[in-house]
Amino acid sequence: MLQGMFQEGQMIKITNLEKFYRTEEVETIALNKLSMEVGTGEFVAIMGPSGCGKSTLLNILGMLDDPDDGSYVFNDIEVAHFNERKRADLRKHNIGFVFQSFNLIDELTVFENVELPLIYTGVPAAERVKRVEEVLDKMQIMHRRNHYPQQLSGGQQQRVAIARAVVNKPKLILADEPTGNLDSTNGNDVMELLTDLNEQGTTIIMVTHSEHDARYSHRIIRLLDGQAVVENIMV
Amino acid sequence: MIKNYLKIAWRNLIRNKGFSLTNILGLTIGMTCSIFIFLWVKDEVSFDRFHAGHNNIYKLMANRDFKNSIFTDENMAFPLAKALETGNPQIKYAVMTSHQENHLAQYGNVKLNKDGYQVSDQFFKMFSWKFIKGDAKTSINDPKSMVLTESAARAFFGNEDPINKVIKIDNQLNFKVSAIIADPPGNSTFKFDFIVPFEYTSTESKNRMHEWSNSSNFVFIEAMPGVKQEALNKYVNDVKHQNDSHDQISTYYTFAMNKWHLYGEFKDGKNIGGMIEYVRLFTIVAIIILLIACVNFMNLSTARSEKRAKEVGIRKTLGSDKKQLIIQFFFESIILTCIAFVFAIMAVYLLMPLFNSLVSKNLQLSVVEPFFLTGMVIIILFTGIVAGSYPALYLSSFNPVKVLKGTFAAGKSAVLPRRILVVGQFVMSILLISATIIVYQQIQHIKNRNIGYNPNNLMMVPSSQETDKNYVAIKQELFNSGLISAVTRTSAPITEVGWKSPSPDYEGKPAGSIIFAGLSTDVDFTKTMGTKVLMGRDFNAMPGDSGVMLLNKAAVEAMNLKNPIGMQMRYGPRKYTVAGVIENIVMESPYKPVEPLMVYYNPYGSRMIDIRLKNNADVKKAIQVLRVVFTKYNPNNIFDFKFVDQEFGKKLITEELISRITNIFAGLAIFICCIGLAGLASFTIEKRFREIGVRKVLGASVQQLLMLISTEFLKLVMIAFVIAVPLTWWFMNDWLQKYTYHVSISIWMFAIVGIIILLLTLVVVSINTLKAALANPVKSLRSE
Repeated sequence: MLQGMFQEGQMIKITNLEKFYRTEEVETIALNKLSMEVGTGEFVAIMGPSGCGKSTLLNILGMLDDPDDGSYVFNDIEVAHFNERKRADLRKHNIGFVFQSFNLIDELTVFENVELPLIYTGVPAAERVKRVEEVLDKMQIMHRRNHYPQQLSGGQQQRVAIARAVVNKPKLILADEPTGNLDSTNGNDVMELLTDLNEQGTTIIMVTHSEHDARYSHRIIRLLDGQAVVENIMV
Repeated sequence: MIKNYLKIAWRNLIRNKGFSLTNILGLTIGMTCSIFIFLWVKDEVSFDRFHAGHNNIYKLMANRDFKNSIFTDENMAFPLAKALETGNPQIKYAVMTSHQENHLAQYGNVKLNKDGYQVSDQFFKMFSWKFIKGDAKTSINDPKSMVLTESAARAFFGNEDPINKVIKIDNQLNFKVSAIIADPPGNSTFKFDFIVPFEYTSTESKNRMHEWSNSSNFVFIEAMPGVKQEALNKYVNDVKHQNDSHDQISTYYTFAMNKWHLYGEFKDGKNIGGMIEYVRLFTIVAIIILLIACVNFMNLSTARSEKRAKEVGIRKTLGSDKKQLIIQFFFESIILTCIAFVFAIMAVYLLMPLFNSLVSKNLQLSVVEPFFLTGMVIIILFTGIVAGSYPALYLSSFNPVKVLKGTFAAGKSAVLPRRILVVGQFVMSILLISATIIVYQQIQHIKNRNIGYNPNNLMMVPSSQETDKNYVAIKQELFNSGLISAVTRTSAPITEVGWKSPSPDYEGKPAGSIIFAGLSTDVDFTKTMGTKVLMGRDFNAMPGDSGVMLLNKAAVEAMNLKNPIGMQMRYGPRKYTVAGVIENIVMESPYKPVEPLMVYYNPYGSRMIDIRLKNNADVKKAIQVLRVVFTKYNPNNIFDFKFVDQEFGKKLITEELISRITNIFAGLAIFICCIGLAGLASFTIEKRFREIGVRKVLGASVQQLLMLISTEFLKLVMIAFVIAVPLTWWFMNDWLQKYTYHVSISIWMFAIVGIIILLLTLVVVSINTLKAALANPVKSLRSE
């Protein structure tokens, strides 16, 4: 069992988590009785070769996918067998996502992209404007608020994506190779932003291939064939 | 939230211009057709509903049961209305009217032929006409009063006050204008320019009040609210039979005003519908066309789903649930529908005059009417929801993990439903096209039917007392022109049956009577009409002619006569000898068999002078000659003439109208199908752009590439064809059964339709494929 570093609160506890992918001929094990814990306020990096189950784990943690077996307790709530609506509800109030390919909606402006999570959580319009402007300011892309994603550089797009991930003040940010599509300068900027957020109290779980990026975290969990094999605690 | 939906829907429309235009065009055409059809249907079903008592007004009808057929008769005995009115609390009013008659009306120097009815005193109480001047209650109290329509009044008096002005009818009777009413609306069964009261006080009328066996007027009753139709039917039969015990073959019944227009056809004494069939048919056609347009939207939306998949994934990740996405996609389809609706309304306004001339109506679209507003909401919601349903459910069900990871192969699960929808579209189009061809063939078939006479180069001029007096001189002058080959006179236009009655009596006549049509003529009847004499001879102006009779072939068959020539017949008080047997002349419906006809010689009871032009005669010159001759010998009447072929053509008006409408709608349906196909083809090509490039590099020719893409669609069209053929056969065979004379559906027709559709598909798909097939493969390979 991999123990969380910060014991004042436990955010995530997964036990014997299993996930299979089946095609007509083969069954692939993506997660093989994986157990781990993440404490509130931790910054955890998950590493491992392609196909080791990193993204599957992140999707399950983000409640985008459900496990085939095992338990997933999020903030003391067992969510492994929640239906889609309940998961969506829990997700929109607690979790922010940052993707490698940014995943901004092309038809919406920077401002509108960032505003979207607030719309889904029912925040009133005036309050939304205030919060979106606040977070755009913090990410230093206020001047681009009326631009469309295609008009921005990769680094700027990822800043918008992070702004969108944090605008709802989530307890947890899940980042899937957030620097994968960026050059090193922009990549470092993004990692600095994540570190800042973590220092302000947000729990972060990040999947990465980059040892460099992983060093920003408190703890690295290395996966192989759906199992956790090594844990490095950073000093 | 709604603002966000609107925003993204709008930006999607703007960004995907091809998609939006294809859909808006399809939906606009679909909705334009539907609006026109619904306006037409609304007008058809609104007939006579403007009369306040329309729910309780009935026309009296009789089924007269003859041996050869049941004759449904609208003509009633003269005293019947008065007898019905007295002493039954269930009857509010009973009204008698004449047939609609055309008369010469004169005021000062203004002479006009006008249509009118003679009516009994309660006419304006039963029917709700809009009075502009004068009083409905008292307008026809005076037997010499006349009520004019607004347009007739304007024609006679211009801006003068028409009240109390005197109009002379047929150069004989003076009527004083007592009231002016608005022209009967387009959806009125009664059409007229003037109304005059029946004269009950004359000796002739007093005699007619005892005449129960002759029937020549229409009778209407208005029942008290809540009275059952069965009770009325029984009452009418009782009254008639109490007063006329000889009439053993007639059953009387009431025919509700609400059904007059839509259910106007009777066969063998039973109501067999009428316009209602076309109302139903076109309602279905409107829905089909709208559905075809909706299917375009469904197909194109799901075909470009890859583009929307990412958005769905992100929205789900950010906390949107499925319901919110479904609502969002419905929003988009409804917005698109609303835009198309605005265009459709503009198109309807622009095309309204054209459509009105097509259907010979005066329809109007009023956007403030409740009918329009409810109709608008129904059409938009129906289209938006039907079109949006499948895309909304399909798109909102995407799995965000797969979509965002890029492992999502969009469209695969939608391919089968999409194919089914395309097949459905083409089934409907093939059905419409085949139906159009069959309707056309049927009309041609009827037009080519042997009608027993030659209606071409045949003219009719109405008779008058003056033409009767001057007939010999008229005839001589006409012949002198060298343009005319024969002239006769008939008791009715050859395009209608003047009267019907039981057959004459003859030796060996079995029990029960046969119904006969009657016609009286002058000499040269068969020569003028171009009718073959099958046995015996025509009238030959010998003094003995007044005692001879001609029978048509149907009469000889119905009477079962072996040697008809020389047989003695008794008709009424007179005796006749059968002198000749003539070909069956189609005088009534060209769709029905010809009934037995007796023709006898009576030149003085004529309504029409029939004039046969020489084959090579200049028609304009002939009209000029007729005008000069008739103005000279018939100066008190307006010179009026008709071409028999045109009059006969009017019998085909409904079918020709139906044919024209189905032509247009079938054409539009296939057009909407084609633009949908074009859209789908361009998506397929977009998806297979790289594949096309690779194949080209490997040596595929342009034709091979065109076939590659086209085969996918041609297969679907062929499946549609196989489904559509039996369906069409089934529907159209049913329609044709209504006609005694009808074409049989030919397999060749289907083959031609099939080839046309296949070629059309090939052309539409090829045009879209050609660009990709001709493109430099380097470009497509680089685009990855």
